[in-house]
Amino acid sequence: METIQKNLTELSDQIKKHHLDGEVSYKSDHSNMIRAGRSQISLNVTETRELYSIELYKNKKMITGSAINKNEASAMIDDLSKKIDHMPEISFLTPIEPLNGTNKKNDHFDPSLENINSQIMVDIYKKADELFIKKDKHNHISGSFSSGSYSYGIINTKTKEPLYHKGSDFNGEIVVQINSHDKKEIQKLMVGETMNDLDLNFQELENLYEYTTTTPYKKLSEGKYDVILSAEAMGELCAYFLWISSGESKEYGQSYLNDQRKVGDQLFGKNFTIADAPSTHPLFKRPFGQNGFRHTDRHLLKNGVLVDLTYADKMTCDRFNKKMNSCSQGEYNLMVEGGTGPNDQSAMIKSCKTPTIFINFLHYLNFTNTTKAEITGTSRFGTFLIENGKVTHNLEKVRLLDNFFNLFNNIEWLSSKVVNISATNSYGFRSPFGISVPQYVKINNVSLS
Amino acid sequence: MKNKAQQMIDRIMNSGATYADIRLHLVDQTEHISIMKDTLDNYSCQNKVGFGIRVLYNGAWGFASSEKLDLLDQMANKALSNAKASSTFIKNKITLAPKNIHKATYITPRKINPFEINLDEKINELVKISKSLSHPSFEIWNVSSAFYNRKILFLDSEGSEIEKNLLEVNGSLFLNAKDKDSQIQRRHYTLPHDPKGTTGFESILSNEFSGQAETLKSQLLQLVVADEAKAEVCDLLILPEMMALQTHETIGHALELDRILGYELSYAGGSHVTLNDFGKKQFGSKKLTARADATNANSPGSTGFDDDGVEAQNTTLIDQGILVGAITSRQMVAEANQLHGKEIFKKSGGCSRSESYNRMPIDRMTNINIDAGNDGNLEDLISSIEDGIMVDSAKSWSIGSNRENFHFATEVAWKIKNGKKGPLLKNATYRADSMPFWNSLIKVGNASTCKQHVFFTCGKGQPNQAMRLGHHVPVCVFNNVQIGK
Repeated sequence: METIQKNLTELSDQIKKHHLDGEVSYKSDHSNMIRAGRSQISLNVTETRELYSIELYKNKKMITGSAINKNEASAMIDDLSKKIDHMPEISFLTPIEPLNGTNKKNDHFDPSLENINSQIMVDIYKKADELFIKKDKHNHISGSFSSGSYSYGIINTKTKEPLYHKGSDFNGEIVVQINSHDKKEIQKLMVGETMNDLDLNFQELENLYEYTTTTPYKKLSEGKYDVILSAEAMGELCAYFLWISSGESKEYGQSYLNDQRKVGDQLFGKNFTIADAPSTHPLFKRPFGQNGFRHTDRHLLKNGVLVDLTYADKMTCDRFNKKMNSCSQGEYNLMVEGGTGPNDQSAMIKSCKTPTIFINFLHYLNFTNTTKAEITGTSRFGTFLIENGKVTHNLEKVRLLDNFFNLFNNIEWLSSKVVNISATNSYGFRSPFGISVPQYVKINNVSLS
Repeated sequence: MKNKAQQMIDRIMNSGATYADIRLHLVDQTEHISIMKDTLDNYSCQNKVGFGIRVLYNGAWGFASSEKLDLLDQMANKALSNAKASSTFIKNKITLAPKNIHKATYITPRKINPFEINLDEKINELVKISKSLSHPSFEIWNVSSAFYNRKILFLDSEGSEIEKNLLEVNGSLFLNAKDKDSQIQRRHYTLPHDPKGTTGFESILSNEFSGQAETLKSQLLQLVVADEAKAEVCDLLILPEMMALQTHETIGHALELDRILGYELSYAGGSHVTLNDFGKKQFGSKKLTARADATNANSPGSTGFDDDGVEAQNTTLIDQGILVGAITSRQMVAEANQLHGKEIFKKSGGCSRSESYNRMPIDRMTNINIDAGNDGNLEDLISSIEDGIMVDSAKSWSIGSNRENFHFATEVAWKIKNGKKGPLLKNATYRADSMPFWNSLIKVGNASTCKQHVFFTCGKGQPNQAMRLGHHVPVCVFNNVQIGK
């Protein structure tokens, strides 16, 4: 850490010697990943990188560049300091301000994840293969497991001490392709920041396997259905939802927010609350964002009311005359508040007296129209029909075609138990992002095709 | 460095490996300029070096990379130890299909190297284009360009020695405005590449880029007062920019052999195509002939040789509707033939590509093209439609994990009634199952309707890789497609 701190300080001083303002940030990464496909290891990779990013300011002019080590960064500063005079003026550019993040020691670093013996990762898939090959020799195991460490530092010419943070994480998934049953796929996700977080309990995956192999297949007709989303599916929806709820998205016309739908309005159901909670979130707490902004607890959506618009990008703030007030969304410690719904899988299934579709995962979500908050994506890794408290059919993948107003105003219940899911597939400048989401969420009247 | 790399390969082979290669990026430069509302929004540049080492040991891969050239030996050891660990969970040992051994050089054809011209000149040119996009009723307008220059040395244990100097130029225009319903509407445009042309700053200066401003402005001004496209089932005419995405998502990705075999299952997904389908499957109507053509002179999908060291080729994928080929690499060809019990693929199609030195190559698109047809020019195609809709420019896309279905939103659409194009419509979407859709292809425009559109951020793989490629496609007409809904 001392070396990085010293390097950042020296580079900042070098910028000052050119009589310029500026910012230098640093990222490093050590990543390992194995990938399995067709029940064998298809890829086993390791990467080590570091990157210095430089922003120089001279009155209303700015220029940026990046370099892969300190010496190159130093040369880059000299080069950019000459080029900046050739840059056009940016009329709205404001001077940089001191970084307001804190250097509070908050590292969550497990060295065993940084230099993991890749045999440990290989053995995870061997174990899954042994389990599911016993059930059917035609089953195939796939998935990837990534493990590593990351660090981040930043200083600017208005700040004396660099901010620095270091962490470790793993994330991965195990997919079983059930070739004897129309190649249906089921999945287990894994995420954590120390080796102790690794959970190799396969019970829920085995349950999904049983539902897939013991219930008849059915193709769903297009229409509106009551749906239960797993934590993974709900987490994916929430990540997309927040993206079009940010200040930046609003300013660039990529949001459902406008003069009629604004901060403070009751836009969604009262049982829906999302917070960024670095003080209590169990995973990947960051004391400051990559923009140097302090990271503190805040509600984003409280009881269905949008609490605030967040801005993390200086250039956007300058352009639209806004004040930076947040780290970026990819650095949040998101928590979706739980409710009073059932927690375990069997209780969830028993609770469904009327026909309900269970969606275990959502694949390839995208907006068809951001200003209408319309979203599309398909179910994956297990889609089931539950009737009279039992899983009665495994279903063909369904396409969700709806909007967030309908979805988040029709939440019937959320599990009281909140679980951690990974929202990243992290490797190479790892930036792990975990979301805490209720185990299950029931939403009524959802459009599926 | 070359000698050291060769010695490293020899050492790995002496340790019991059956294959090893290294990709050394001796130059890896990027420059990005973005102008928003006639003002510089971003200028950034990056210079890197780095290498990636790939080792095949006891039928399993290991790979390691670094940007520190002095870590060559350390990373070679790591790649070897990774391969050894992988080999403890291998059921079918990886083998590589034979290839021609090349000692060769490939240089992207260019006229004006953007890295050799003055920064002021580049910025001024983009500001000039930005000003031509401006309009008092627009919210945002943006011009951006990115330039990539890479000098790569590829060496392998089979004797390959390939030097590549790859230049890529990406240009895009973007503008948006609030419509009569207070929704933001947008138009964007990416610089098409003439397959027989050159890559360089000359393409930014060309009329194909700067000359598009008036069309885009006019369309956006129509969009802000346009009606919504109605939900209906009718004929669908797709213009080249949208057709490129249609081809990319539902032909390109569906025919990547690693996806077909199941190696992408845990992330990008699989494919509805099986090994039994080659030579038999009616993938589309007889109007459809598609190919993977890496021999175009001017495309980010043309690199001379792939990252297995296999030469660029022009491979037929779909011949008059019948599936005959795939997007292939040495490993996947060998494995597919072995699994199938007889030869499907004669050799690698030269599609093993990696984003950069720090990623292991996987099966990727080069230029996935559709042959021009003989159903006339754009006017002929429009006049042949009784009840249809014409669409262009993707706003969003979502595709089933086996590429079996899709849902696309487009920026612009026009209703066609009795052979006449009506006023512009907004918010048109369409969706279909892939096989019925391609089999409903009823008309393919002639060569005058073709354009090559390029993508720079095609995502696939774990670790994720963004790939650069192209699609040379004609205007196409499909029968009975679900619009809206």
